Amino acid sequence: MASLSHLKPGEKGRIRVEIDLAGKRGPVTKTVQVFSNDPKRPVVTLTATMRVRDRMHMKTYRATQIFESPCSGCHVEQGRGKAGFDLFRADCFMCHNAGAAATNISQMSGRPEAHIRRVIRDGVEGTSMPGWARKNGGPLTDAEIESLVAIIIRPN
Amino acid sequence: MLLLLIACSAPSAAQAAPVIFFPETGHNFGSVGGDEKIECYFEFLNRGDQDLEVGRVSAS
Repeated sequence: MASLSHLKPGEKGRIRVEIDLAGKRGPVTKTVQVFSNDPKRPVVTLTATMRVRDRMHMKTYRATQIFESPCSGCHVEQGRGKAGFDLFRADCFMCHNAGAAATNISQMSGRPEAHIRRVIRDGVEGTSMPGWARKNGGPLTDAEIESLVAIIIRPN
Repeated sequence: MLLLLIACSAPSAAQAAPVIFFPETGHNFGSVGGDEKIECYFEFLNRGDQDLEVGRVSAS
């Protein structure tokens, strides 16, 4: 490889891009602009994309572990005593937002009400979505689940 | 005769330039975790017939 700054015809070079993930979460895009004396393409933009997860979420868990410590601290406890949008914001939004892998609220709102109720109550097998109903070991009462169904089918 | 010489030499003079070429201009790290530092390399080639000068690289 030749030096970065000066390449003879036919020579190759490379640009090292280092990204510090400190403080970054979710989908991240970083761009690098390379300026050269190529008259037709004086600026080339390079793009690096990634989804940044904190260390705790790099591991695969059983879905129901979300109800146990330490997961419950973020995923359950903050929603205690809340309903509707407040409950969604506290317990659901960290997974079900536009940048996350899980279905976001606008995608869910087009689905049948019975389906939404069943998914919240019983979870989705083979995914990280547990059943949130108390009969499944979850923290939500039937009334709390209904409050979520109501705001999901009519988010506005 | 003079016109013919000019006509023959003009195209090569126009092509004498550096050409920067990146086989890949994008890199997807996929899922990454922690507060670490990650890195990747972008290779490039001078496909032209003049020396290529990379003057500046800026990140956003």
